[in-house]
Amino acid sequence: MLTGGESGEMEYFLVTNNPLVKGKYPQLVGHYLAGPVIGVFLQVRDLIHKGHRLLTHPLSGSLKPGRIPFKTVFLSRKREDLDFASLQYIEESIDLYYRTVPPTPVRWPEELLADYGAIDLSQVEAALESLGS
Amino acid sequence: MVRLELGRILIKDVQFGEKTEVRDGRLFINKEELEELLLEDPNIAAVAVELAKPGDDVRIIPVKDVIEPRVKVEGPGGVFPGFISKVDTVGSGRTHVLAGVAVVTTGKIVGFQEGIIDMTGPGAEYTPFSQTLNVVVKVTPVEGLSQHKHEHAVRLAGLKAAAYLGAAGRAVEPDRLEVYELGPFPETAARYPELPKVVYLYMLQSQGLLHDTYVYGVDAKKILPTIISPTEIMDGAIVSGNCVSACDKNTTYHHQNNPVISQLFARHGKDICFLGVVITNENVTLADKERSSSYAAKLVKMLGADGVIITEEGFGNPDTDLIMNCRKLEEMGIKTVLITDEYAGRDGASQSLADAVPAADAVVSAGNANEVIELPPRGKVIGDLATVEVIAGGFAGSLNPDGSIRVEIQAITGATNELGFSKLRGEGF
Repeated sequence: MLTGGESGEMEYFLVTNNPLVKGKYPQLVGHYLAGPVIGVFLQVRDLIHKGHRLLTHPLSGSLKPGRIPFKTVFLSRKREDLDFASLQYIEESIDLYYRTVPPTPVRWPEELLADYGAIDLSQVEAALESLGS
Repeated sequence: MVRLELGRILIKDVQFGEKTEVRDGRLFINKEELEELLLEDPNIAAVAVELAKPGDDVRIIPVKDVIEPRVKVEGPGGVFPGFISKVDTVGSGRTHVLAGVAVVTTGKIVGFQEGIIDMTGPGAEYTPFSQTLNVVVKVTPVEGLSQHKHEHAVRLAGLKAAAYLGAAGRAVEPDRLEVYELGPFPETAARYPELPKVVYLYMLQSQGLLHDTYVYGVDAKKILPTIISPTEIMDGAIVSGNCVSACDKNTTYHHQNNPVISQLFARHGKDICFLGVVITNENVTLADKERSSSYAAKLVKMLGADGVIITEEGFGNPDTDLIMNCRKLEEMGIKTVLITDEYAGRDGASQSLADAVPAADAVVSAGNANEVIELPPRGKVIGDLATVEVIAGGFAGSLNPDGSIRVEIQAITGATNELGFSKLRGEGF
């Protein structure tokens, strides 16, 4: 079971740079890293090396990671041996980030930030529904 | 035996008129009646219906969905079950198609907009919907509507418009009648014992807002992989939840006209034995991916397939579903052929998919979505061009002062469609 179980304690936490996710699910956010998506990816990679497992795909949304302002990733709270599949997914995602990020930083209009935030939030809520919140 | 007659009424022109009807191969549309029908939705503040025909100096952006008008003439159920019709099982009897006509929905849902259809010029080469007579429905929601409700309203408006127009073909004698029939699995398999038995594994986007798909009205992210008759799909059992990845998100039109299904039917009994279709999803959690890929592979195995064709929808996250499906089927001894597209960089030299496995050794590419194209200005824009710089295939500097745009073909609706519903392909060398 991936859900919190009888104790009610969540067996996962989120790494995110999306203020909408932080605002709506503060109790689930383990690491909030304001800034570009790569910050989230690198934090996730480090946590995977510490034994946490990836529970959601870092490339959720079929949007280029270098071209979006927000990303949220679910990790297992429990630490085990290094999970190579998790590591491979995040490394591929980091690689794709650097391949898709424009040479000059994108300036997102406020309205767009809200919409990108909502798309990421909808993926978070799809995952919560699946994992059990 | 499931048997569907698909009667194609070849439409050679679309015009506005006093009455919505098909006359002499022309579709006339009562614009006011159609707009009033769509305005019945309290979430919609305004509707504008326009026509865009092949060769017109028109750019449509942002395209949300494309839908083919169809009507159920005989047999149970009606088109788009779960939305327009009740949830009776469809796929048998007779359905009429207004062939050559497409409903195209446009209008902002989120601020970053994509989905370009140019009706002429170089961009027209990349989308099949430059060749259709398009009834463009621009939907403006009421103030303050959430993105989810907005998406729902646009989705329903497109389906309603397609059903409304399709109904004009109810009493019209079709120009062409196609018959699709598929028997129970044991009978089908026994009929062609010498031919390889092939199943089609049909992956559906199911990641969240603007990345969803519906099956009989059910959100595909909430299904276990299941068996569906290919003829049900032709009656609109699978509906797109609109898009933000235009080149390789399957529109409802693509589902209605899936070329993998039509080719499997065409070759059934000749060089393959087409057993049927399994649909599966592309969820965001890895547990869902494991569950769905294991379950889908098991179903294919239970059907007794020797080989399976797998089509992907989208890229990135679904690449992992694609590869899991491939690996698990190959491990069961079932041969796989994958249809996907590539994000291989502007020079095509980078890794094409975000995931890979050695067993994926038979892959058909529908093209490289990162290819850059220059689209000259068009005389008329239906929709909104201003946000082209922030669409998925656009970039800063995409929009020139003269209205021309420079984008990756990712921005063009259907450009690298992973059902193969396009003119592009990748070649190995």
